[in-house]
Amino acid sequence: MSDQKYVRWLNAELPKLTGAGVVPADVAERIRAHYGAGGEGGGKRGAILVFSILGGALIGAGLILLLAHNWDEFGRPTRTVLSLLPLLVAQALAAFVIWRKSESGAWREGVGVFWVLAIGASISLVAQTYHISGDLPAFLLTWTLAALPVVYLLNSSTAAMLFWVGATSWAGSLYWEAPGRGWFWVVAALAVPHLWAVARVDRYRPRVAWLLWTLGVCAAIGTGFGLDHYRGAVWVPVFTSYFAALYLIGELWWGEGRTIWQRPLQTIGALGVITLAVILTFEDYWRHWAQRKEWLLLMKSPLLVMPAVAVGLWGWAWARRNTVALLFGALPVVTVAGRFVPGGLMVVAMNLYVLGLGVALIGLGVRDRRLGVVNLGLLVVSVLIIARFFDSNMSIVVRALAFIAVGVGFLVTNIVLIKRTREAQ
Amino acid sequence: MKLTLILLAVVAVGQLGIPGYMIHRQEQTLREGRAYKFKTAPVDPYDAFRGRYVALRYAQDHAAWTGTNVVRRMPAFATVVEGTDGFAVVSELALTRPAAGDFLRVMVHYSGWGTNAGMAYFTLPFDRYYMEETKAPMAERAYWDNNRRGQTNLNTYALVRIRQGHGVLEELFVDGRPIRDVVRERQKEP
Repeated sequence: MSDQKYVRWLNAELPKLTGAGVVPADVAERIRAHYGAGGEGGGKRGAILVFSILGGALIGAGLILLLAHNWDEFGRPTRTVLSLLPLLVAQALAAFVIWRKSESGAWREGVGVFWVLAIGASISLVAQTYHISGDLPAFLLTWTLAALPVVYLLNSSTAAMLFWVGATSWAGSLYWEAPGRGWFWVVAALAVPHLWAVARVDRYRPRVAWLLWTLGVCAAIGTGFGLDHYRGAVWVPVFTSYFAALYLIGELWWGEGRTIWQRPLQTIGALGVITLAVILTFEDYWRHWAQRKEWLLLMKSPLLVMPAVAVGLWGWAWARRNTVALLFGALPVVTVAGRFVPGGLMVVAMNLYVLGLGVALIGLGVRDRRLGVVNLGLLVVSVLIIARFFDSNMSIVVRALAFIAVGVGFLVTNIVLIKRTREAQ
Repeated sequence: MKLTLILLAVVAVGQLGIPGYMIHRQEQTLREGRAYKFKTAPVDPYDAFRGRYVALRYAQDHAAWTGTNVVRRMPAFATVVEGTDGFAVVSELALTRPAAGDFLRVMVHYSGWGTNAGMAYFTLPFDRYYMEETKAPMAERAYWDNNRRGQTNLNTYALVRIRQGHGVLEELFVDGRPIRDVVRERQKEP
């Protein structure tokens, strides 16, 4: 199996090599033919893939609506058979795909989406025929688990994404009834081997990014639903750990991703860490929540795994001397330390932390000439200043001057960086 | 590929088993279950328009409670008997399955107070009657017309079959006639 990442690199290098006369053009063409085009992104194939997924989704949804009309003149036996029809059609299509078209991504993904929708359609149609009011969590869990084999039989990443959305919806439907259940993670983990199998070929292919974006967002929401809303303070160590761990895992395994799209875990993790850190610079949390005994519940809960993983990964960032990863990964450590430090001191510490994060991002961006990183750093600093204006007693003049200073900073840094980049070119 | 196709066959049977089991259970209860008439309750005619089904409420919403504290949406067992007027009555709610007689799995929501102390409020598991989208609004109106507050006469009820704790809503009767017939008649009217 050829590694797509190197194939892409090779394809980029070949014109240079032929241009420099190192490799004759015909040989270059034979090399290209041997390794293939590289990546799945080839425009036409990408479009076919997207349209087949959309097609599967639309046909599935249309079929559900058509049958939801409830053709009650047909009588119960006919309608019962009709209810099973979407599922039977999807299964037959799947057999055809496995038999004939297992190489075609468009077929696998399109039929995968249709199949997942057909499972839900069949179950709800039976419920409609027999007036079953139903139990939403049970329905969602049944549907989600029944859709799991679709992911593996068809090797369908779209089905895996729908599976995670289903698991998250199930966790959400349980939230008001039985909060504090950690089963979301167990269910969500069932589709992770698919991610592993897809990423093993090439970590930077588009499919992997899609899967990571979906999983990163779904797991954040699912984690929230899994928390018991009566135990207020637990969300802080859990969520800071989640986002920090996400960032660190991203750096560890997807560190070479170039665009934001190729760095889903770092992007979601960084946004989460920044948002939480800014929230935690307000006095309220530290004064009212941090000293509560609920923190101790974390010690007995399986959720303790999350801070443990985050701290473990932080150790890795130390070993690698990865400054940004160190800073992003430090948030859970800072907040857990806050349990043992007086609240007033923690407010100062959190403000320094956010300021440090912003300044480090600006510094890194300037060093590597990455304007996006600089602006992110400036944004962090500005948000911090704006946040302080809500709860501090600074005079209006001081606030005004601080705003002007940050604004000037924004402009000057951008101008200088753009100039430098031009000069470098 | 052969192995994948075999696995697909296994999965297909398993997936079909879910609706299949649902159908089997409903049909079995409809065939073998004992029929009870659950009297429906007055509804608020300003209830949101539901479209594809008639939203049902029942006359009896509380009964004697033998359990301990009531938590919202707590599953419980309701003992069902036939009252002297021919309509079903939930005689008792309990956390354990009754040893004899017909019963239903219901959701208990909160305990009664004042004159209803020692009682608990519950909802029956069949609160929707699905119909074709063009008929459902008309059916809902017919149901409302016969379930107004202050009306007392009416022979409006849900016919439910019960077998081993499982209940299936077989038919909805408005003023003693199946709602389908009522709707069909109303559709003929100009």
